[in-house]
Amino acid sequence: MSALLAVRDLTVTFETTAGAVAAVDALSFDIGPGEFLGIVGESGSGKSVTALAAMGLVVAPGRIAQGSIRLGGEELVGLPERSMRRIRGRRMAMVFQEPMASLNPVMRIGDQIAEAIRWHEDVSARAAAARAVDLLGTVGIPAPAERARAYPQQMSGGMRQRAMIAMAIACSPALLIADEPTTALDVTVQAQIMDLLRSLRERFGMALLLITHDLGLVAEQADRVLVMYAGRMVEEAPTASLFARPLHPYSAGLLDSIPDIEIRRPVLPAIEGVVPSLSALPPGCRFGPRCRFAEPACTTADPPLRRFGVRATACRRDLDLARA
Amino acid sequence: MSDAPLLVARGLTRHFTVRRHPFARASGVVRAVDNVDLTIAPGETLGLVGESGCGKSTVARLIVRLIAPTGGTLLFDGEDLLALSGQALRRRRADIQMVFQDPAGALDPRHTAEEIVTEPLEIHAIGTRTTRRERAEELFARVGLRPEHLRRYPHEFSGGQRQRLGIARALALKPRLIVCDEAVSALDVSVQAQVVNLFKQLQRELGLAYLFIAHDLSVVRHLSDRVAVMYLGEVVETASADALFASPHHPYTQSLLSAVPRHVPGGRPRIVLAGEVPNPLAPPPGCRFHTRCPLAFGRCRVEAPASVDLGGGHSAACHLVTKGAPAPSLRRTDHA
Amino acid sequence: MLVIGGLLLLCVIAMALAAELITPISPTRMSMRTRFSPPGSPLHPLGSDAIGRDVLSRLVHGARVSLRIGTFVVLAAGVAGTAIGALAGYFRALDGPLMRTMDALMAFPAILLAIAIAAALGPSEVNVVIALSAVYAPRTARVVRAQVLVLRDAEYVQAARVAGAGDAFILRRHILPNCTAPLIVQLTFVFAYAVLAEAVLSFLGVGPPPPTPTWGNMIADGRNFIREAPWITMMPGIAISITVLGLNLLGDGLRDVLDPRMQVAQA
Repeated sequence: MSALLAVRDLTVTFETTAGAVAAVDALSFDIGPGEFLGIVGESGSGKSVTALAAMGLVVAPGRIAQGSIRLGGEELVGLPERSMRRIRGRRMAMVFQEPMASLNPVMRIGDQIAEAIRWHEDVSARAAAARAVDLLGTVGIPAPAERARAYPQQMSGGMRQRAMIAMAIACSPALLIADEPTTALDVTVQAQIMDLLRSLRERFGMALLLITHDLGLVAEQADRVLVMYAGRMVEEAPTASLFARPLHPYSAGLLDSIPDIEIRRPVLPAIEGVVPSLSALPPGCRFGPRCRFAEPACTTADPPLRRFGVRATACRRDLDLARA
Repeated sequence: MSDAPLLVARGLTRHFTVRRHPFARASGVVRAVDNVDLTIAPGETLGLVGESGCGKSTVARLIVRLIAPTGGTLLFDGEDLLALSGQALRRRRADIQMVFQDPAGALDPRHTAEEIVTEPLEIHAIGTRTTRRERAEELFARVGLRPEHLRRYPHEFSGGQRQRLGIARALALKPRLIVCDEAVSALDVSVQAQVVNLFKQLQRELGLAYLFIAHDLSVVRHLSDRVAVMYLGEVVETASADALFASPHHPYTQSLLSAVPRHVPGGRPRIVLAGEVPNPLAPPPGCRFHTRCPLAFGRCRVEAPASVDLGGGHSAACHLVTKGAPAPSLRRTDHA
Repeated sequence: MLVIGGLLLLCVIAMALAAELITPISPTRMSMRTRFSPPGSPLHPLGSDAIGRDVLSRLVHGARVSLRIGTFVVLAAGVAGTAIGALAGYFRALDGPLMRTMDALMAFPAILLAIAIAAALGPSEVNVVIALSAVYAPRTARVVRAQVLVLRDAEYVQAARVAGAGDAFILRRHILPNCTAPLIVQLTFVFAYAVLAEAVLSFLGVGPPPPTPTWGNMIADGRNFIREAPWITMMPGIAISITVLGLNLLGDGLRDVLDPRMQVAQA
């Protein structure tokens, strides 16, 4: 299966007063056509920067220092903004955490969607407006013709996120990137949006890249999961395998530390310490200082990512853990 | 009942008047909190859950007396909190402290950690500068911060450490009840577990009672002895945590629980509610949940359900709930 | 920006402080023999005016008057504006009455109001300070009030209240200290406006009365000879421009440095 999106050795650096720091460090992964990939990480893990890099939206003081991002074989790194604009929205699109920040508050929802269509397709204003209404219906907005005339602030958070999704899928992109699409929403609305994303993916056959801090969201729906920590990928696995047997101590710790609604434990097995600052990374393995299994050797070299069939982990002890 | 309850809220109500637009003559009334009954025993954790706009944060602010209720009574240790004012209120405030959601916003950026933690002592004129510093060190040790952190400013701490600092400040006056308003929601997953454990440990060591307000049901489940569920300003169900999570009775509680993502691949069958929380300016007549309830019938649209006592401290406000009968089922049976 | 603004302002302050060292000539000494000396003449390096007074001497002594008036206006407008803004922002009941009064004052064009007050009180340095303070206090109050409105709902203020703190404690400990950054920026601009406004008032004859050397008086004296002896008006004009430019640069620079968002970016 040839990859739809192929990211190789991607490094994104940010210039800060303390020098350049790598928010994403030598990251490689693939997304197949129609696949649902989840990227999980905490703040500072580089998950959102990865999404922005794929969309060609990394702006100063950030820059793609090295690596390649190919969409359907076409190299995106170094592509001029003009060409990138043609790809963005048409072949891949993105949905953000806070829809209000991405919508123009003084423009009607329907007009914004129609405008997005007309950037990419040579259609009449009337046809674009009709399609905008259709799209609002597709994403489950009741009375779409009426809601198309509403302004963003007249809609609830869930409806705005649906409108954003409608805009994103307007030109039937092959890849939809969703960065924390439900974090700002209530739990019952979150369930609706996740259901919507799943049904759209089945209906249009698009690939979905979900960026989230919530393992529960990827557990239920993703085909495959990447776990990121402090700019590095630490583990990659099919969802079921990851949850059944995480190989990296960080993934294992993360899974353990989340309270589950159905199982109550006296003490949560928390990961001690804090996520390191990117400008003051520990020597050797970045997770080393917080790792229960750390050995002296873990502080000497940053362990490379090693692959075992469909799985990969960046831990020296991976084999022990796999056997355990 | 052997223990007298620590906090009792009866019929707690808070209405806000709002003008819909600058030229509106008539103003609307938001019933942010409507007739809420809550009881917290000493050393107990009451979880309060609900979606945004359900009024749970308003309940927190009413209980710590940041805002005054429109109606109802509030008893702390048998004393009427709402009758207190001036010096008596200030003394009583020491018993009820609060931990906020945003660890950065809850700390004055211009004050050092020591100034932040000793501020409540200064307000109550407790001790000298030296004894206050000793107390700060003691509090720091309790919440897992190091003494050298005392001279730091809030921006020099990580999110989790800031929340520990906020907890240390809340502990300074030796309160008996701490109101935690989304106190772990803003933290990273791996840090959240640390702070959750700290809350449990402090409760064991100091016999604290918590009112733990959160939208994350998994965290509430983990921390709470009893749980109250709010919807549009009203408590729709109250029960022990075990009973609530094992057999939720109110249709809203059932759908809320089922919407929580499980950390299990494939998930499980889920009740996805239609629509969103209605505008609190114009709550639906009858049962406020009827617009989204899959089981709603004629009576729900006209008559607000009374709370039904199901025994063992479990109660739910729904027309379909009766004592001794199984909970109304939202899962459609295929052979209807 | 901060550095350039600061340096320009330092030059003006140094000039004012060292007036006697820069030139021994009295700013009010007339000399009919050396009327209209052009700049560069041995006795008058920046020239002399219509009655033979030394332009350089008047310029450096005029700097004293400008800076003195600016300083007192900043102090008076700062104290009054902060008090009014803090009370209006913090106590909702006072907001309406106080801020509507401020709005009424601000409805007049600043300079017209200053002229009216100064004319009513009579021409003197103290009256210029009173007039300009009355003009700029409402603007300062606006800035402080806006900041207090934000701070009043800050969670750390709520935390203090939950701990039992009273209003005076909260204002002193949390609200006022967190207002200083926007206040300093605002007052830097007030200083600049005051220097400019003082010149205008002097020019119109409602400032400190002649023969007091002020930049506004100098321009007023020289305006009849602007073709024959442009330096009489140009020199104070340049001094005003440099001072106001320096203060504005300083204010903009301070705004960038004190902006909390900048500090977040560094953290």
